[in-house]
Amino acid sequence: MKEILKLDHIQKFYGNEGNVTKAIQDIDFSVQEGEFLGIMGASGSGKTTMLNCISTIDTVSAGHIYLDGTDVTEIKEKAIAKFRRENLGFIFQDFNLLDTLTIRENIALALTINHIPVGEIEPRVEEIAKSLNIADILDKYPYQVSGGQKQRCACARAIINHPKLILADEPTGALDSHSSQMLLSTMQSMNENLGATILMVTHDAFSASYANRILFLRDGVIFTEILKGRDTRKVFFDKILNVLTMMGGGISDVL
Amino acid sequence: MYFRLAFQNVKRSIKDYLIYIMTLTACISLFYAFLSITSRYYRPDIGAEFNLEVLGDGMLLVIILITMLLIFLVQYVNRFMIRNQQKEFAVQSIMGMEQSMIAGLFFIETLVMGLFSLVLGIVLGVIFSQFITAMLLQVFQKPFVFSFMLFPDTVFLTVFFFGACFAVVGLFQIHTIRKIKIIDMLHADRKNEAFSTTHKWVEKVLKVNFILFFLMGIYSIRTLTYYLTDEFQTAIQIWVLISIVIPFVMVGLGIAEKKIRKSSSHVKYLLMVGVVGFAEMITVSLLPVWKMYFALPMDKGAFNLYLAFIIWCLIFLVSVFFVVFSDGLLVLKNRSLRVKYKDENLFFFGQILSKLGSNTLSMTLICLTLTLSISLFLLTPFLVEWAQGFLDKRVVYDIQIDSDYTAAENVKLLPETDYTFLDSFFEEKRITLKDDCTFSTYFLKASDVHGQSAITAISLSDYNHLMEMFGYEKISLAENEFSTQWLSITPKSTMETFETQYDRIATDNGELILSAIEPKTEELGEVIYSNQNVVLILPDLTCDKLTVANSYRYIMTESPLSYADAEQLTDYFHEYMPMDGQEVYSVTTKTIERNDTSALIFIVQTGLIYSAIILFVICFTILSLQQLSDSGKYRYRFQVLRNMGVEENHIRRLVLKQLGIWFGVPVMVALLISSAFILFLFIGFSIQIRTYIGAWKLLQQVGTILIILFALLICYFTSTWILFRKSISQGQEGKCNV
Amino acid sequence: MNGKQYWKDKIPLFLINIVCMVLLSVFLLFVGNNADSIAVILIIWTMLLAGVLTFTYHQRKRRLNKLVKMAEGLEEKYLLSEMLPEPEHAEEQVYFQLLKMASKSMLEQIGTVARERQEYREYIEQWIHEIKTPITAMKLLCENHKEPFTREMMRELEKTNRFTEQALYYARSEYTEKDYSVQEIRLFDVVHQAIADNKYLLLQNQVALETEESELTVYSDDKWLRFILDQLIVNAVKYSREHPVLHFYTKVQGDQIFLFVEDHGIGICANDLPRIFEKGFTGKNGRIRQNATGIGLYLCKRLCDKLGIGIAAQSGETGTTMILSFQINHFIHQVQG
Repeated sequence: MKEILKLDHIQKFYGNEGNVTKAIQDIDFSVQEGEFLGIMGASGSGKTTMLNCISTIDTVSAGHIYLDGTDVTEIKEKAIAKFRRENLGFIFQDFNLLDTLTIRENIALALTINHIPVGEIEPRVEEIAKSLNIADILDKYPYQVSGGQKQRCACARAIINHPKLILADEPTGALDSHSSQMLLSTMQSMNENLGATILMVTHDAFSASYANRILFLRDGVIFTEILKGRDTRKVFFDKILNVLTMMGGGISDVL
Repeated sequence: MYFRLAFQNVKRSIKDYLIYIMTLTACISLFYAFLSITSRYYRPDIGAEFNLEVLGDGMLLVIILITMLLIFLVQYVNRFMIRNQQKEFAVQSIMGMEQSMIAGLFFIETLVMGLFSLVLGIVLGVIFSQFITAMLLQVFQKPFVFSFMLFPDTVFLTVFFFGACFAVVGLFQIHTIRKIKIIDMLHADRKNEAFSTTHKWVEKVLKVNFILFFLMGIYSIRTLTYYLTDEFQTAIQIWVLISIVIPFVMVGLGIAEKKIRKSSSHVKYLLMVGVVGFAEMITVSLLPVWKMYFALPMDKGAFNLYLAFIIWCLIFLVSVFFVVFSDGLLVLKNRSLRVKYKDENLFFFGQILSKLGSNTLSMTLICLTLTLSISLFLLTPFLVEWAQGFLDKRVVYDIQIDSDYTAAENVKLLPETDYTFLDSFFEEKRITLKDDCTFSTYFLKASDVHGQSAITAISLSDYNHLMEMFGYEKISLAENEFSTQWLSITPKSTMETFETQYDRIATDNGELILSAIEPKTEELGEVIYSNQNVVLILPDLTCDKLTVANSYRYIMTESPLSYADAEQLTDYFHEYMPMDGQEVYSVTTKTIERNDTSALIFIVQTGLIYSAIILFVICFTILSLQQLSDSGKYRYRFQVLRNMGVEENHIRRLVLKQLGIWFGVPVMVALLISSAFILFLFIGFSIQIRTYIGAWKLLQQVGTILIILFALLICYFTSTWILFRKSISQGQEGKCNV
Repeated sequence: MNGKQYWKDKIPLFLINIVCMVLLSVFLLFVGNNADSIAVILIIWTMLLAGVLTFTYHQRKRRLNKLVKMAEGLEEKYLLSEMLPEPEHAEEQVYFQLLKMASKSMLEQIGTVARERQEYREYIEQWIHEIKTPITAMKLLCENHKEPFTREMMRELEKTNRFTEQALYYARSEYTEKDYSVQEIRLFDVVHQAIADNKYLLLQNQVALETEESELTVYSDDKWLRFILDQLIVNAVKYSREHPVLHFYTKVQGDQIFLFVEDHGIGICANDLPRIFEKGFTGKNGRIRQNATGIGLYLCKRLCDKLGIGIAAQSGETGTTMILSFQINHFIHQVQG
C-alpha cells in the first residue's frame, strides 16, 4: 500500500507584534492510500493549522510534508496552485460554494480549471452526482438547497478530479444531525467504494467514529492514536470517548 | 469616546471610499479654480481693452449651477455607505446606542470626510487655477503670467457651498437612518441577490415607447404625406413611406408582445424591438440630410420634434441594449459549451451576470450620462473655435458704424448720413484714426426699397478702399461691367447659379454685364450685404445716380480702443442718433465685441468642459464604487477559487476582465453614440467648419479631448483595479489559527 | 532605518530629475514659452516629487522601526520570520523569503538535535531505572547474609547506588521544574535522612557526627536537598584525615538561614577554592585522592541554583566548611503566624 501522505516532524509558529505562539510543536505521522483518517482535538490543539499546512494554504515553520513523494514545503509559490488543484480536494465547514453558479456549474468548475476536455465534463458531472445522490438538484442554485445537499455538492466537487487526498475541515459543523449522518455515510462510501483517501479534522466524536483511524492532538503534538480494526462503529465510538475522557477534556470535547 | 469612534470610522472609510474622496477633491479643486477667476482680487494683465466683470458674474452662475450636479453624487455615495454599514448600525443599536446618536456619528463621519476633501481640494485648486488662468489668457490672446490664486472670497464661497452641500445631504441621511428598523439592518446582508431577469423597469420603458411610437406614427401620417407629391424627388417619397411604416411596425410588436414572448425567447423579442427602434432612428436622422442637401422645406417646429424623437430612440435603444447584453450573455453561456467550460469562464460568467442582472437600470443611466458628457466634451471645441473664428470674421474693423434700412418700421428712405459728428469725440479722446472709410450701398432700382430684401451695390472706389484697408488687391472694372462680393460661407453652387442667372443686370442708370473677374469672397465684415449674401460692385459713375440704401463708416484705429472709450463712444453715438425705437443705426467696436464674445466663449467653454468633467467623474465614481462595494463577497468568492487551486495570475486576469467589461461596455457604447453625433455635426456643419474653424484644427482639438477622456478613464480604472486587487487578497492574511 | 543612507541612495534620482528639469526649461524657453509658465511647471514638479519622497520615507521608516522593535521584544529571536508580516515591496519580499528559508532549516536542525537528546536522555533514565533493580536485589542479598564481606559489599553497593542516583539527577537536572515539590521541611530531618543514606560509609570510615539540632524550617524540595547533602557528606569523607569529624549546625542571620557542613579534612587549597564548582574540576585534591569525577559539586551548584539555595565553601588547613543558605520567606511566615 502506497504511502500517500507523510508529515515529517513539522513545527508551526504564529506570531505578531511581539509574541509568538507555538501552534504545532512536533507532529509526525503518515497516511496510507485508501485510509479514512480522523484528526481530533480541542480548539487550540493545532488541527486546523495542520490541515492548512497539508493543503498548502499555509506554510510550516520547520519540517517536511510529503504528498505521494513530493515535498509540499519545497514547491515554489507559482506551482502551488497547480499542485493543489491536481492533487487535493477540499471540503470545508462553510461549504465554500460559489453563489453565482448552479450546483452543476460549481462541480464542473473543478474540472474546467484543470483543462479537462469540454466533451468529458458533463458526463463526469452527471456520474458523480448520481453516485452522491444529488442528481436532482444539479440545476439549482446553492441558496435554493439545504445544507446537507450543499455539503454533498462540495464532496462531489472535491472528488471529481480523483485527487490523491481529500481534506475535510469540520464537514458536519454546520449541519443538523440527520444531514450529518447522510454526509458521513456518503464520505464513508466515497472511501470504501471510490477508493478516496480522506483526512478529516473534527472535534465531534460522532463524525470521527466513521473514520478507520483516529489521531488525537493536544497542545500541538499527537497524544495518542487508535485504530478501528474490525470494531463496529458503536464500539469504536466508545473507544473514542474513552480517549477523550482520559485526555482530560470536558463535555465540550465529547460532543 | 464618541468622537474617537467616529474618527476610527473615518479612517476606515477613507480607505474604502478612497475613490470617492479623490473625486470629491478633484471636483472641489476644479470648482475653486474656476471660481478664483471671478474673485475681485484677481487682476490679470489682459490689457485695458478688456473688462472681466461680465465674465466674472457669468462664470459664478454657471459654475454654481453645474456643481449642483455633485449633490447627486454625494447623496448616492452616502446612501451606499449607509447600506454597507447597516450591520454595524444594527450592532450598535442592539448594544444600546440610540439611533439618533448612531445617525449623528455617521453624520460626523461623512462631514469629516467631506472637510478633508475640502481642505485638500482648495490646496489643489490653487495649483489648478494656474491652468485656468492660462486658459483665460489664451482666450484673450495674451501670454501666460503666473499669479498666486489664494483669494479669501473664493475660499469662503467654496467652503460655504460645499459645507452646505454636505450638511444638507447629511441631515437627510440622519433622517433616513433613524427610520430603519434594527431587524432589517441585521438581515441586510442575508438577502440573496436574486437574479431577476424580469427587469421591471424595462417593461415600463417599453410601454412608454410603444405609446410614443404610436403617436409619432400618426403625426408622420399627418405631416409627411405632404411630401408625397411629385414635386419632390423619388428618394424623398420612398423615405416618407418608410418613415410612416416603421412606427406602426413597432406598435405591432407591442401589441403582439405576449404572443411573441411565448414562442421565442425574451431576448429575441427585445432584439426585434431594438432593431426596429434602430431603423426608425436612422430613418429620422436622414431628415436633416434632406434639409441640408435637398433644401427640403419643413416647418421648424416639426423639424425639432423629429430631432427630439431621435433622442428618445437613443435613450430607448441604450436601455434595451443593456438588458439584451446581460440576457444575451446568459444565452451565450448556455449555448456554447466550449466557451462555457474553458478555464475559469464559468466563474467569470457567474460574476458578470449576477452583477449586470441586478444593475441594468444604473448601467443604462450611466451610459446615457456618459454619452451626454462625451458629447458635451466633444462639442466644446466646435463651439469655441466656431465662435472665435466667427468673431474674427465678423468684427474686422475697429469701429464699425452701420445702418439697416430693413429694420426701420416704415420702410422709407433713410437720410444719408455721414457720421461726421463723431470726429469731435475722437479728438477729445485723442483717438488716432489709421484708416477711415465712409461709404454707402445703393439700390439697383429705386423700387427695390419696397421689397423685403433686395441686392444692393457698392461703388468701385469704395470697394477698393475697403480692400486696401486689409491689403487685398484692388479690382478694376470697365464702364459697363459689374462684379460680385460674396459672404464667405456661401456655397459654390449658389454663386454659380447666380452667375448663370444674372449675367446682365438692369439698374436705374443703365445695364451692366457681369465682368470676367472671379467672384470675391474676402472678409469685409458681414453687414455690407444688407441681409443678402452678395453685394454687387458697380463702377462709380453708375452709382452716382442710384438711390442710397444704407450708409456706413468703417474705421481702423492706430491702437486698440480701451474698453472705457468704446463704451463711451457707444453711448455718445446713441445719444446723437435717434432711434425711433429700432436698431436702425448701430455702432460696433472691436473692443466691446471682442471682450463680450470672448467672455461668452470662455463661459461657454468652461461651462461645457466643467459639466462634462463633473458628469464623467460622477459616472466613473459610481461604476467604481459598484465594483468595490461588494468586496466582502468577492473576497469570499476569490478565496474559494484560490482554495480550488487557481493560480494567482489567472485570478488577476479574471479581475481585469470583470472590471474591463464593467467599465468598458458603457464607455464603448457612449463613445459610439457620441462619435455618431459628432460625425453628424461634422457633416451637417461642414461649411461653417471649413470657413470658421479649419477641419484640421478641429480634429486636433477633438483628439486632445479624447486623450483627456482616456486619461481620466485609465485613472479611474487603474485605481479601481488596484483597490479591488488589494481587497480580495486581504483574505490570504486572515488564516485561522486553530 | 538609517535616514542618511536612504537619502544618499536617492541621490541619482535627484540628479536625473534636476537635469531633466533644466533641459525641459531650456527647451521650453527656446520654443517660445515665457518664464512664468516654466516656473509654474517646475514648482509643481518639485512639490510633487518632494511630497512623494518625504511621504514614502516616513512611511518606510515608521514601518521598519516597528519591525525592529518587534524583533527586540521577542525572546526567541530565531522565530522572527514567523512573526514578521509579509512585506509588500519586491526587494523586501526576496529578503523575507531568504529569512524564512534560513529559519526553517535551522528550526529543523534544532528539532533533530533536540529529539536525539531526548531519546538519549530517555534511554539513560530507563537504564538507571533498570539498574536499580539488581542493586536493590544485591542489597537485599547482603542484608540477608550479614557477614563482614557482605558489609563491604553493602558499602560498595551504596557507592554504586549513589553514582546511579547522580546520573539520574544529572539527566534530570535540566528539567527540575518537572519534579518539584516545594514544602516546608525541617532542615535537620533532611540532614538525618542524608546521614542515614550514607550509614555504611560513615561507619566504615569511623566518622564522628556532631549535629546541633534546631527546629528551623525552610521551604524547599526535600528530595533534592537530601541529594545535595549526600554529595557534601561524601566529599567530606573522601577528603578527610584520621579521625574525621562531620559537624552540622545552623545560624540565622538577617533574612537567611545558613546550614553549615563542617569537616576537619585536608581542606582545599586557596587557588583551587574559587573553582571547585566548575564542571569537571578535580584540582589538587582530586589528584591526591583519585576517583574524583569533578561532577559532584558542579551538580550541587546547579541544583542549588535551581532551588534558590545559596552554596559557598570556606576552607583552610584545618578543613572545609560548606555553607548552604536559605531565604526566609517572611510573608509566608507572617501569614502562617
